[in-house]
Amino acid sequence: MMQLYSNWCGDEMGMIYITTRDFNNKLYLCIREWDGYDKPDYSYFLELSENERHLNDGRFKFFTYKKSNFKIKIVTWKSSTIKVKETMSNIINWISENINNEWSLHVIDPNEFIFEFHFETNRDAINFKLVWG
Amino acid sequence: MNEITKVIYSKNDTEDDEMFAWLERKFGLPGIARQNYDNAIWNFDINDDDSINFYFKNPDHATEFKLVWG
Repeated sequence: MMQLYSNWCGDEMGMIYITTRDFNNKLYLCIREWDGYDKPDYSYFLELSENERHLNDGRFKFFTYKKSNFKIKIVTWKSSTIKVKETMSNIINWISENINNEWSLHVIDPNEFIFEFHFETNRDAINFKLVWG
Repeated sequence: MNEITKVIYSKNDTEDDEMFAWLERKFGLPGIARQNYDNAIWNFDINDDDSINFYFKNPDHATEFKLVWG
């Protein structure tokens, strides 16, 4: 439990958030949803390497969980889990290669896999939007 | 939103960099922070077909944009 909560990146209520979690001997970035009563649900959408477990190394070197005014919403499709994984993998890879300032990732709608990427600078947000629409 | 003028531009990769540089010189950075475009001088969205919607607060800016890039 300590490990789970050390990695969480959630909303103000703490009920829906991004976290890392082991599943089938692999490490994943996932959305954790919990209504406060039943077992939490996890939606796994990006495989991580071990050094990315705490979201502070590898592709997440500049990741800092916080909100910014420079934000871009990305809608993926839950109907195709493969599509969500592919899209998020491509986006995270692109960020790791092109963004050298703080960025953050927030869950807007876990049911539709809608995310919001936040950037420290307007310039980074513009570059992101030019590529990812 | 009534004040916003929308211009649809067919994406042309060879011109995109110059066009965005021109927009930035003329009007500053786009209003990325504002999802609803209110108060932003200009902004843009990229459509699924790669065309770009440009939004201008000032219709004169939209006209100037169309004259140069339209």
